[in-house]
Amino acid sequence: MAHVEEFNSNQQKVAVELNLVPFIDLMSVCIIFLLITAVWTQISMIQLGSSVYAQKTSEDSIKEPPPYAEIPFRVNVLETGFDVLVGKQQLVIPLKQGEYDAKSLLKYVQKVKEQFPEKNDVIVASRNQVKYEYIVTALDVLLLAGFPEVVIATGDM
Amino acid sequence: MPIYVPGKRDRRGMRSGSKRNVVAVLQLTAMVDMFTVLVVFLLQNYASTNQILPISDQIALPEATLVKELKPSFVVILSKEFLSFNEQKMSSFADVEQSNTWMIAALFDKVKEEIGKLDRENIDSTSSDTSEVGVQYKMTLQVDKEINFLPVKKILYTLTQAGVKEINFAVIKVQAKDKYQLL
Repeated sequence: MAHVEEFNSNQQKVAVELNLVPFIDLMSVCIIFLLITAVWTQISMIQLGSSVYAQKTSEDSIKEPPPYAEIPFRVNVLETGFDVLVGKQQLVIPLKQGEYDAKSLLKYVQKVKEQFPEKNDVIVASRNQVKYEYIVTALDVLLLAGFPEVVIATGDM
Repeated sequence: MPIYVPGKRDRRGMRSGSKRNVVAVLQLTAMVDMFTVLVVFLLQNYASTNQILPISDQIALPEATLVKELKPSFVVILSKEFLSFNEQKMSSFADVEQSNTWMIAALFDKVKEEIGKLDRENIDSTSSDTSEVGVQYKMTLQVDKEINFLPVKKILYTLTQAGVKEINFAVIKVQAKDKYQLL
């Protein structure tokens, strides 16, 4: 028990004890509640742009084409790796030890961003048998490289 | 907090041996400090945002680095066993995967119905506030990372046809340097 020394009216030392028990009780309850309700895995989301196959409604106004719209930029996620098309250039990033090489893809799309800094849009397409995890990786890499308008082409490849 | 010093006791529970009465005082300051630090840390990490999304235990979500905070939306869950919309089971995973058509009829009807309800609510509330109209047409997809992309494509197609305007993928946030070995 914490104690504080005070002087009484006769100038004699008096030990006053702070009662810490309720405080410790409160702290214990708080800690238990916070530990139980704590969220240890932080779930977030990746936001897509409007799909290229989205239905056009009458409310949708005709938007201006994005910068460098004439230069197609497309990332295909294949069973054999990533296939990046920028204009007429094509780069194949094969699997590395059986895994998709996201690091090389990131390096390449960062170069594309340096080349076309105002370009924001990119299309991601994938084969049907590719795992969903790798499509999310491709989306994440493109967002990380600075292409916020990512759309997914749902058509067959 | 007074405590009695341990030691030999007689049959009446009295301390035998020395007649001196000793009261030991516990030093609680360090413990109170530790509790305070713990409470502050836990309060800082207290995230209420995840409460808005029902998380299924049967799903292993993919990881991503550049993400946004979850917002209230419709939730479609695709696990290795079933497809559900707002915690209501729509069909089995096998049915979705083996279906020859792109459209998932049960999901399409349900989403259409919910959007219809929202449309009616929005028409009723248009006179007071129009700033948030359309915000509910968002959809968050929770898909197991091991699932092939074909069923996901079918869901995307169905949702788009039903009138969903924004589709988001639920992911687990990780650090970019860990995932891509960035320096």
